[in-house]
Amino acid sequence: MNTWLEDLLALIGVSTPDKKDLLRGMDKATRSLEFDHFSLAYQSVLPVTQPRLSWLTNYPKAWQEHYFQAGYLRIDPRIGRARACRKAFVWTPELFQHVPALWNDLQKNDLENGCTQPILSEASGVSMLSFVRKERAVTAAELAEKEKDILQLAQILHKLYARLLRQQEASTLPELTRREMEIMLWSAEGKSAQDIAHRLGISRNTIEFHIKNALAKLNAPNKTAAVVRAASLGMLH
Amino acid sequence: MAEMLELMGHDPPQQAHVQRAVEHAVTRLGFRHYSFIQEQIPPLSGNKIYRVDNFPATWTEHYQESDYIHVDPVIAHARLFHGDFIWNDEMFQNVPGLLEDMHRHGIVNGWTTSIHDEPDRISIVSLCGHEHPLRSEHILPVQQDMRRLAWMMHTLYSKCCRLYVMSELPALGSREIEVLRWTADGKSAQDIADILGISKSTVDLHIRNAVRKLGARNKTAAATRAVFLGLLNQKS
Repeated sequence: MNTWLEDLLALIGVSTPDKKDLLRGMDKATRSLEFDHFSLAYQSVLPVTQPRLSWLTNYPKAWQEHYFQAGYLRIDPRIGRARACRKAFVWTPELFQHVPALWNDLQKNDLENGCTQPILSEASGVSMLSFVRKERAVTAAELAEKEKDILQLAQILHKLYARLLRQQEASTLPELTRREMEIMLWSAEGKSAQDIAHRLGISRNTIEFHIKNALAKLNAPNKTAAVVRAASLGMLH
Repeated sequence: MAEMLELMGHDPPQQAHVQRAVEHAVTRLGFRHYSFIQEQIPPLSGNKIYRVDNFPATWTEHYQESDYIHVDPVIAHARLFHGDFIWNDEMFQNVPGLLEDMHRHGIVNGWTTSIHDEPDRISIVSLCGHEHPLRSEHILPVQQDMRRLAWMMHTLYSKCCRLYVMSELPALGSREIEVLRWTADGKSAQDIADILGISKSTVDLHIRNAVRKLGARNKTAAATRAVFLGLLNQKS
């Protein structure tokens, strides 16, 4: 039994996990797996056509800034590799053959001994979890030995982080009233304003008024986008 | 537990394999029975209950006939609260009949945990039929293993459940998915026609087909369902 998983497992039972607890749990797990740093890159579900990337990481701050300033995000071959196949992989010079600048930079900063586990088949978005260390190259044999632990960790962290981001985003929006929630739920099932008016015994105008207010609160261009957003953020319970 | 771990790497997992691994893990933890219930929040994913357990058939039938799911305090508690709890007799004080029936069928000494980590569904995992009455100090040594098992059941069965839902739907074409993606973000049929450089009537046709294939009533319902099935995730 890996005791380092305990803290993260316990967070699954917490209604609103704290980012600090997530980071602390990951610090411990990272050290137990004999790495120095971890990085989770998470791609949101919404907006569908323009998903957002978010990071949970304990990489050195200076490297994080440098990585973005240098524009590495657009050319990082690890991202393409992680999206193509769900199997964990070791970082090798061949992987970086078309972007020598990034590889040299990783070496210069002692960040080249690493591996990545993609998470692709969850409805709650896609992500990749990477581990890196200063000393010792990661071998295929080592990865094979740790793969199951890493996969499990990635699955737990992916879900916890997705939930955290959802809750954070929902908390920035004005709360929906019970009526608005009710109408959004019926709309999610495909009921028209007229159907809902009928069911709730109120006028169609009133329903449309509530929908309009919900759109404004959710900052959505139309009813479909509003329903998708509210439902994905878990606001319709 | 090693068997469960092995399955976590499989994509997609086979329900029969998961079930066998769960049964072994449950036995090793000292329990006779388990149940896994996944409730999809109506109407987001079709309002279905997905249920797997190894209860005696007589108990399952009796439970269903008596409509206990609507009064079962374990389920009610799990719906409201995250995390785990040990069953106790006080919980059943308003439904003494259920408690008596449970005792008669050996559905005793139980523990339940509920996992609310997706916006459209909750998972309720119960382990019961331990030979001793459960007390906190009693299960403390294996509590982490129980939580871990519950988490793996949730992860594996969620996948099985989605696959099952999808297996009953006709596959969407790539154009239909593309049109649904823009629809989910709030684009009108005319917007999408402009973006993709096709006619509005073609977009309407794709939307109509996607709505029909997803068994939805309109495009709002279709877009919501597609998001929760993970059909619109961008992978490249």
